[in-house]
Amino acid sequence: MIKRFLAIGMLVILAIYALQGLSVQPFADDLAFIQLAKYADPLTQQYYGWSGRYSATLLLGYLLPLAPNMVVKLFPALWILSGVGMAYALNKRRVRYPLLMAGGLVVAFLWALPDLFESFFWFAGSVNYLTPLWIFGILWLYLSRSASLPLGSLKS
Amino acid sequence: MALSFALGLLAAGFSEIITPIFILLVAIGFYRTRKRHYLFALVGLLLGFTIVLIAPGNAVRAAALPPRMLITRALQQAIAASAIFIAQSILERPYTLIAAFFVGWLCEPLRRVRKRLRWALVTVLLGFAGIIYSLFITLYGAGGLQGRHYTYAAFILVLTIGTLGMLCSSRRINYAERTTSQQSRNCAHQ
Repeated sequence: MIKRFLAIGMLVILAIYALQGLSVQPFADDLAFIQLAKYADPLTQQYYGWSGRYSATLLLGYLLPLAPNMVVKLFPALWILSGVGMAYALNKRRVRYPLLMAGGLVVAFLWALPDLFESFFWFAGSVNYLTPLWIFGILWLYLSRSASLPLGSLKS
Repeated sequence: MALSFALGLLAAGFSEIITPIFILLVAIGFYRTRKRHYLFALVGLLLGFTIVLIAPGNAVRAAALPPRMLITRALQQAIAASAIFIAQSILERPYTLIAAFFVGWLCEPLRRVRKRLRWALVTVLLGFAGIIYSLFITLYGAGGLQGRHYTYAAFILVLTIGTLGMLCSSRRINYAERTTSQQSRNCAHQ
């Protein structure tokens, strides 16, 4: 019972972080990409002119300019939701209380970040550093299920 | 399998810091399972990583940053930065480590873990190595550390402490199993 309350408590804390994300505005590199998208092809310009990070450029150069405010405000909530979901799915068959583990680890991770704005709330920062963890989590889940392994395990 | 390749290709296109770790994990997975899904994912990751590394823009960016420091110097600074980060986490944000440990401890792993001390040592060593690696690559490539560059260090630290909590929790399972098997043997003797 206590553990259920703790799990709910963790989810409430994460909901607060998600709500905080609604006050975020495009900042620095976000604005640069929004301007870039108006005059040039972001992928080509970035690949030949600054960085080879094509996946980050896809999100920053094509998704962000579509609806800048909506994207930056919703992205933190989306990341929290998918982070908890993946941690839950990966640990469902390994621990007795996977929801507590998922919520608790995501909360602990957000608390551990020295600069929460740069790493999490800032769209360009979170796209470059947090999103690959998210994509790899999806990949690992898919590999585990496709290969008929227990979720999150390397053992056959 | 096409999805494995596509996800691998997509995951590799973000940060050069974390992609080698992805490649390592998937390579270990392929070695253990010999499944084609892992192989396709590995090919996608390697292809994506190559595309990122050979980009002409990397040279333009490198020219705009301070000159690259020597590998030994970057490693020294990475070790120092890792120690400072861990110390700050303990002194300034102890609730983080306490939360990570108790979350791991309260969750109760379902399987018994043998040789918990060995696994704890392996976890701590891998955690340290991971934090040092993430900061070293950033220092060597960018010349300095900013707030967002500690993202992977924070992730690894929380995972390490959470795993230690789980290992401590498995002691209860080990004890419960031993007690149950002892009782079964006593009943059999009677």
